[in-house]
Order: sequence, then C-alpha cells, then structure tokens
Amino acid sequence: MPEGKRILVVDDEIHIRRFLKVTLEANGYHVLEASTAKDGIYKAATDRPDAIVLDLGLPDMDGGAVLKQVREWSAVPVIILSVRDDEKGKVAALDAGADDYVVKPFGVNELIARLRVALRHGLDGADDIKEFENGELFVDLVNRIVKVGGLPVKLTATEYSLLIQFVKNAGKVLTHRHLMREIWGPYREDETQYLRVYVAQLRKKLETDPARPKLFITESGVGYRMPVAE
Amino acid sequence: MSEPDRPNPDALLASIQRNERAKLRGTLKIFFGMCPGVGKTFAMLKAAQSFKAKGVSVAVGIVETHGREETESLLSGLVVIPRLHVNYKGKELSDLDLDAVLAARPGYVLVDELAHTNAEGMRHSKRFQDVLELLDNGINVLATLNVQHVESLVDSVRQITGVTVRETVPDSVLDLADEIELVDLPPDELLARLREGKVYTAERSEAAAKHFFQKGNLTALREIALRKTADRVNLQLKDYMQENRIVGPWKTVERLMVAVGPSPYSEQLIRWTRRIAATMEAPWIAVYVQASRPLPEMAEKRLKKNIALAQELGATLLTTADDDIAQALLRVARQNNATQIVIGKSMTNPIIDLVHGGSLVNKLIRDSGAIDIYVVKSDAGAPPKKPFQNRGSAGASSRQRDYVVSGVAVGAATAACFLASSYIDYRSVGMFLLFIISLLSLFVGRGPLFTAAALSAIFWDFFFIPPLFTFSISHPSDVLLVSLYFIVALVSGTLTSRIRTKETIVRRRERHTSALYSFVNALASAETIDDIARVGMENMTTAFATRAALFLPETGESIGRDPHPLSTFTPDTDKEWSVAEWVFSNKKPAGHATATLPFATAAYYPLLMHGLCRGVVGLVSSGAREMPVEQEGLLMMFLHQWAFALDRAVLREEAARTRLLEESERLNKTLLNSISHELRTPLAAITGASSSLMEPAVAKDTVARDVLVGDIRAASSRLNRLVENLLDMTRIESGSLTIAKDWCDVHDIINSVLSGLSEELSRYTVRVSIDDNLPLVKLDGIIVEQVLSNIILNAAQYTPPGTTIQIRSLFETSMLVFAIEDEGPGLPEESIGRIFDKFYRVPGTKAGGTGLGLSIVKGFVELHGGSVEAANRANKGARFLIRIPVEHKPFSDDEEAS
Repeated sequence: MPEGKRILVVDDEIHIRRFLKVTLEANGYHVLEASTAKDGIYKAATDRPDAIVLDLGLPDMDGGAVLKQVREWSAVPVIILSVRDDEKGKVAALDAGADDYVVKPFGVNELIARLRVALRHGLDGADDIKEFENGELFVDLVNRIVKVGGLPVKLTATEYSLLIQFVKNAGKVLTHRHLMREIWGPYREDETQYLRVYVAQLRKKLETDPARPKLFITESGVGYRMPVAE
Repeated sequence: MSEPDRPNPDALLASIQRNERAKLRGTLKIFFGMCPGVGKTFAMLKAAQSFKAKGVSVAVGIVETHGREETESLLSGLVVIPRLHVNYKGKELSDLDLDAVLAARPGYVLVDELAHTNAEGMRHSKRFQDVLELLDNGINVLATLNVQHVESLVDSVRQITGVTVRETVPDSVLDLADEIELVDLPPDELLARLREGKVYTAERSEAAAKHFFQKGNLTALREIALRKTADRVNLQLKDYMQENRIVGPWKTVERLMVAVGPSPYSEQLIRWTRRIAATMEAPWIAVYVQASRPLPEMAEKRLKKNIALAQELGATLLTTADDDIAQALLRVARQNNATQIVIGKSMTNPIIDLVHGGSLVNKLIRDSGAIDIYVVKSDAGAPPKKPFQNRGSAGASSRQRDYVVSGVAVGAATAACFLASSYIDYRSVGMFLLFIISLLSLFVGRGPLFTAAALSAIFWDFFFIPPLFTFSISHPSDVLLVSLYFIVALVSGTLTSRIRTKETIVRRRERHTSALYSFVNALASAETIDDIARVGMENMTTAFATRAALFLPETGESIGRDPHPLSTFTPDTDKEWSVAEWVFSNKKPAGHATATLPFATAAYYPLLMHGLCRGVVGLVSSGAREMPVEQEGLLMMFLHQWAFALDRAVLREEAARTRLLEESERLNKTLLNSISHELRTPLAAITGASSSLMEPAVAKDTVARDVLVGDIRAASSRLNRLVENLLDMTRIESGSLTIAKDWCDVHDIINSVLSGLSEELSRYTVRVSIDDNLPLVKLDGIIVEQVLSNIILNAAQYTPPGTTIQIRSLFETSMLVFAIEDEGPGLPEESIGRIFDKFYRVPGTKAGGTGLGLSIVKGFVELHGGSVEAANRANKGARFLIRIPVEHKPFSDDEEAS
C-alpha cells in the first residue's frame, strides 16, 4: 500500500502545500515540496518521486511546460491541479501526458483516490490485463467476451475497441482527442460527434440505467472516465 | 453715478474678450510705414535681434532685404525657415512656408510685406491669411506693412498718387494688431536714400522714383500713415480708459449704414463708410437690397465681391428683399437703429427716377425723418465701365433668342394678317397684334418686348393703315390709334413681364423656404448623429443640386478620412482631403471659390456651433457658375441648422453616456453592498467555526467538531459558488467569453449537472424526461451545464424540500428546449419581468444569493443566440423555459461500416 510512496507537490501556495503535506502524510505518503517550476523539475529529477501533484499556475513557468520537460525523461504519474473554466489547460495537460486532474477547490478524498489510481497505473503496465470487472460488467480481453449481469452482449468492432480503451485506463480521464486518435486515427480528432454516438451506444448496451451512467462518466469539456471497481 | 459716466458694458466686455483671446492667440506687431524704403524691415529685424538677445526664439518666416546690406547684416544669427518653392507656369516662385513655421513653433516669426499675394497653389491666397493662421496657433508675429496697402485707404492713396493698389490688407487685420509701430522718415531723407540706391537697386529706383517717390506724394502718404497711427493710439487710449473706469467724454452711439449693390461705385462707398465709421468709432451696417429682377452674372460677381469687402472691413451684413430700394433701406435703418445712411450720388438714371417717383436720394431724404443721409460723390475716374453693361454669356444668348422669337412672332402674325387683309379691317389687325404682344410678354423679357411692340406698330402702320406701304398715316384718328396701340402694348407687356419675374422670385423664395422648412422638420425628428447626417445629406443634395460630402469628427481632434457613406463625392486626393481637414481645425470655410486653398475642386464649410466644429461639408458646385448670393444665404442657413442639430445630438449622446456612467456606478454600489454581505457571511462562519475548533474543550467533543467542520465546508462551497458566479458575470460583461461549440449529447449535460448538484438536490425528487429522438446538438456543453445548474439550484433554493423538480428536454424545429419546473410558491407577478436583471432579488426572499445566477443564465443563453423566460405554472410553482437554436445531427451508426 502507500507505505513510503514519495509524492512531489509543486505549488507556489504555501497553504495548499501545507494542507497536502499534512493530509498525505496522515495517509501514509511521504511528501516532497517545491514552490517553483524550476525547483519542481529539479526535485523530480533528483529525488525520483513516485507521483507528482502539479499546479498549472506557477509563477515562473507554466505547469504545462513543467509537465513536458518531466515527460522527456520520466513516465512518473502526474496529477494536475487546475481551476474551473480552464478546460483548455486541462485537456492540453492531459494530452501532454498528465494522468489525471483535480479542480481547485478540491476535497482531499478526491485527490487521494486519483493519486491511488495513478500510482497503480504507474506500477503495473496496464497492457497485460486479461480480465476486467466493474459492477455488472465483465470483460474477458483474451477471448473478447463482454458480459453484463452474466449475459453476453454483442458489440461492434468499434464499440469493442472503445470499451477496451476505457478498461485499460480505468480510473483515468480519457480526453476526447485521445479517444478519437486511438479509435479513428490522427486525422479525425475534431469530429467528436462519432465519439458521442459510440459512447451513447456503449451506455445503452452496458449500463444498467443508461440515463444515469455508472461506467462511462462524462468529464465536462474534457472527456470520459471509467471509475475503478472498488 | 450719473448715466453718461458709466463705462459701456458691451465695450468693456469686448475689451476683456479681446484681452482673453490675446492670451490664447499669438500677438501681432506691425511695423507700419508710409512707403517702401523707410526702414520697416530694418526696424523689424532690430526688434527680432533684441528678442533673441532676451532668449526668445525668433525665426525668419520671410524677409525681403532687397539687397540692402545693412538690413542683411541684421539677419545674422537668426533662424531662417526656408521658403516654399512652387513652379507656376514655368516661373519659380517662393513664399512663406506656413506648415514649416507651424511645425517649428518659434516664439516669434518675422513676416515681411503683409499685403503680399501668395503664389497660386499656396494654402491661402494672401499672406495676411497665413499670418492669421499663425496667430490662431499661438505664434507671435512681427510684420511690416505700408500705408497704401490698407484696404480703407486705397481710395485716398489713389487720389494722391494716381496708383491703384491691388494688394490690400483688410483693416480688420490692422485692428487685430496688438501693437503698431510707425516707422517714420522725412520725405527729403527718403529721397536722399533713394538716390543713394539704398532703397531699391539702382536701375529700379529710377523708374520707381518717377512714378511714386515724389515729394508731394510722400508728404501726403506720410500724413495718412501718421493719422492712421494716431487714430489707433486714440483707440487704445479709449480702451484703456474704459477698462480702468476712467470717466471720459463718451460719444453718443452713432451707427452707420451703407447700401451695397452690384455697382462698382459701391466699393468706394463701402471704403468711405468704413473710414468715417472708424473715425467716429461707430459700428456700421452694410445692407444689400435684393430686387425681384435676377442679376446678370457679372453683376452678381461684383455684388459678391462688394459684400465680401464690406464684411472684410468689419461691417455687419444684412440683406433684405424689396423692389423699392429707398423704403427697404429706411426700414432696415430703423430696425437697426442706424443714425446715418451713406449712399452714392450717381446710383440711378434721372429718366428712370422720374418714372419711379423721384431719385433714390430724393426719396430717402423725403422719408428719412431723424436719420441723416450722406450723399457721397462717386469718383468718376475709377470705374471704367457702366455697371450693367457687362452681361454674362449665358444670359446674353438667352436674350438673343428672346429677340429672335419676338421678331419672328411679330413677323409671322403680320404675314398672316396680310394674307387675310381682304377679310379683316386694319383695326382688327391692330387688336390681333396686341394679342400677340400680350402672349409674348408671358415668355420674353422687357427688352425683346419693347422691340416687338415697336416692330408691330411699324408693321401695322406700313402694311395695314392707309395709305398702305408708307409710314405716313392719312387719318389723324389713326395716328392716335397707333400711338395708343404702342403705349398699350408696351405697358401691358411690361406689366405682365414684371409680374412674371416677380412670380419667379416668389416661387424661388417659396422653394427656398419650403426646402428650409422641410429640412428643419426632418432634422427635428432625427435623433441620432447618423440620422442627422443622413437627413442633411439628402436635403443638401436635393436643395442645391450639388454633390456633397460630409466628414464627421472621429475624435475631438480630427475628422474621419472617409466621408459619410451617403456622400455623393469623395475627395480623391490627399491634397483635396487636407482642405477638409484644414477647415475642421481652423473652423473657416476653404476650397473652391474661397480665398483659402482655392485650388480644391470642392468648397468646404465647417459645421460650427458654440465654437465647436461638429463636422465639415464639402460641396462640388455644379457648372462653372458660382452660387448666387441668395442661394449662398440659403446654404448658410442650411449649414447653421445642420450644425445646430448635430451639436444637439452630440450633446444628447454625451448626456446619455453620463447617464450610463451614473447607472453603472449605481450598479457598482449595489454590487459592492451585495457582494460584501455575501462574502462576509461565509467568511464569518469559517472564522468562527475554525477558531472554536482551536478551543481544547470543543476539539475533544467529537460531535461538536463534526458539526463545525461541516459548517466550514458548507460555507466554503457557498463562497466558491459566489466567486464562480462573479467570475462568470465578469466574463459575460467584458465580452471575453467565447463559446466553444462541439457536438454534445444532452443526456451527458443533464447527468453532469445533476451529479454536480447531488448534495443540494438530496432532499428533492428530481424527475428527468428527455425526448427519445433528441439528436446530437452542437453547443458549448460547459456553458449549457452552467445554465441548467443555475436554474435547478435556484429551484432548490426557493422551493420547500420534499417537492419535485422536473427537468424536460425536447427538440422542435431546430430548437433545443429545456423546461425546468418546480412546485414551489411560484414567482410574484411583479418580479417576473425583472428576475433576469443583474442583482435583482425577489423581495422578501431568504438571505444568501446575489441576484447573479439568473442574469448569468440569461447572458449565457443569449451567447448561444437563444432565449430564456420565466413564468408561473397553471396550478403551482414556476417554470423556466430555455430555447437554443442548434445545429443538429441524428444519432446514427453510419460509421460502423468503416
């Protein structure tokens, strides 16, 4: 479990750093702090943290730029702290390799849940999942079988590859752009209407109540997320 | 204080205004001399050197040294602004570079020979106009002037020297001078200097001396110069006495009036009156009496020149219309309290005078009563031509045609009668010819009519009255008949013709009046500057049949480069446009047929009101003919009305802006009040709860601790919502919010909203019904989420817990519709209209809420081009209805194949 996992918090606000340090340490993590982008990059390189919590609005450099630099040499999980109304910033950061985001002001439970998911993804390569289960949904990735409530469901090829994206990245936010690129290739990234249609179809086929989805959660203005099975 | 002791308040005010103006504009000092060679330029340069010694910047605008060494030596050390060279008809001419001086902005600039006429192509036609512009721009000017160039003294100079001076400076310029320094030299000394070649170079001085520099001439000129200067000193003394309340012998107020006409004598009369008025220190009026007969073009031109002269010399110009000049003059004189009327001696012809009941002079004297009449002998040598002989070519050709028409008509009638002479007797022929003359009078003027009457009388006598084919008449009664015929034909013809011209005038005046009337009427109903500009352009082009352009000020300081879109011409060159710009900044007319920048194709007039230029109008005159005086008067009235209307509109807009400002200030105040309350309440809760938590006793009590922590959390989220609302509002207000439309699934939107509000909606039943056929729609999902969220939250806040909130969404004719219905108390009727207003809160509602939520809803929905309305439901609760026009696409799996 989180024993001794080292989290680097990069934020210029001392109050945010302090409350994160207190709460995260109470939850068994070890916290490193950086108040500037430069310091953050330096500590990410030298201290090799297990995950980074990165504020997008830093005084000396844009958080997105920090992320890009870190990604040049590290695949460490990164969780972005952003403000509401900055959908563009969030999407850009996610597309640049951030693992997740939390909107300020945020509840600490939310952050810890996201952190846990990120750490797990960072730990085991998601590629070798053979089976997946979440509530009524069961996916056998080897035999390409999908079942809801024990009954097999027939999916089209596109629906299935979309579902697999969600399954492999369970708990993570998937941006529209990312999904479009993965399923339809790099040239149709902006034609999100297809994505909407297929998500709606997946919901119809796999959700117990398509009107109140529990599997395919909409992240407004950013993308979708499939929650992790607890 | 007895009445005559009191300083005249008007004069006092004028004097103060003159001093006030003097503070803003540059000062003008004129070095005044009796003739060339007395040393004006020398004196001016000496003054310049002394200014320079005092550290004042002095620049030489233009100085003619005429190769005089001692003068040239004084130029050393002064900044000389290079002259502007122009090539005119192969000749290299150079003049004062006005723009260079304006750009250099020296403290003092030297301008020699004020009366100089500028080369063609310069901005102003006269150098003194350059000086006026310099003064207007706050630059001090030192200038030189000779006495023979003073407008009102031109006649006197001609009488003395026999030389007619063409280059003149209006007396008003002289009056404007803050200081006049007389540069005097006794004639003998001057002649000696001339002989030594100090005045002109040797070869020129010989010729000059013969014509001009004779001792007698010089003495007389010197006297005029001295007297002019003395008059001025006298005036300055008066000014001083008035300002300082020194009681002196005040003259009773005299007021002179002079009749201005198209006659060349008129010019002399005007100058004479100005001279007398100046010595009497009396104001003077120039009156033009417009008769019903239209003036020939040449006369019109002269009239304009005379009127301009009178104005230049400082007269108040009045025009009136009447065929009886004497009556008109007396009427105007009485209306304006004129005490003296000046008229010329040879203004009318004695024979015509007899017909009109005495000469003008006699009539005036007979009826003048208390008004004095000055009869001034006109200088026979001056005008080489008789006043009315010079006819314009257009008038002449139409007149010739009239003569031909009259001749042919009479000839044809005579021939017809001759053929029928065996059937009708010669008396009937007379009647028939008379009828023809009457008919003719409807079409031709007096001259042709006279010819026709005479011709027909001769024909009648020759061809019809026995003995036939002779001019002799056998019967005495026939002699009487022919004479009577001639007189009757003439009188009836003349009368008809006169009535006809009168009618034309009346009709024209009527047309003018109605044009002006409809213009004023249209202006009255025009509200905005745009309306007024449009109305003006329309009326301008129709009333004057010219092409017009209007320039409105872009900022306070300059006019827009592009004319008003309704303009019927556009200045095509920079030069042409610069004329309009000059007019705007100098507030004076310029361009075609004016004294300033006459090279322009159009004439430009400022729209002046209260000393502010509200725009510039350019007019391209149609045809070569200049605008008649009468029409120009109408134009001025048009422009005045237009300027007035524009001024009014500008002021109104300013007032509206002020009101808006006040309104926004009031809003700001409301905002501040509301916000400070809203901010403080949760802050107080947080501070209070957290400080309680620090109490050891409270910290131990787990129940109390949980309650306090819950409070802090609730207060924080309330604070967060407030900040978000404020940010949204600011983004809407500042216009920085752009909507990013993308394909959206309405289910997604509603789900996001509901999960975001799950805490707030926990005690309500929420029912969602979404139309099955709802297509994919293109909109900004986040913003629409915000809209729904605000309305639903609103419903939760103002309805009792346990009730149902119903959310419906459907699609009809390209419109996405959301309906949010609650079961609360509904909206008070009087609030329904205002509920979307910023900071509006339904009176009597509970605390918490800024009155921002719904106004943000409105702003967001309108960004999408949609509408939102609130109403009460038939039985219970309120209903909010949102309609957003959207691009849409059916859900389909066409892509499956790919």
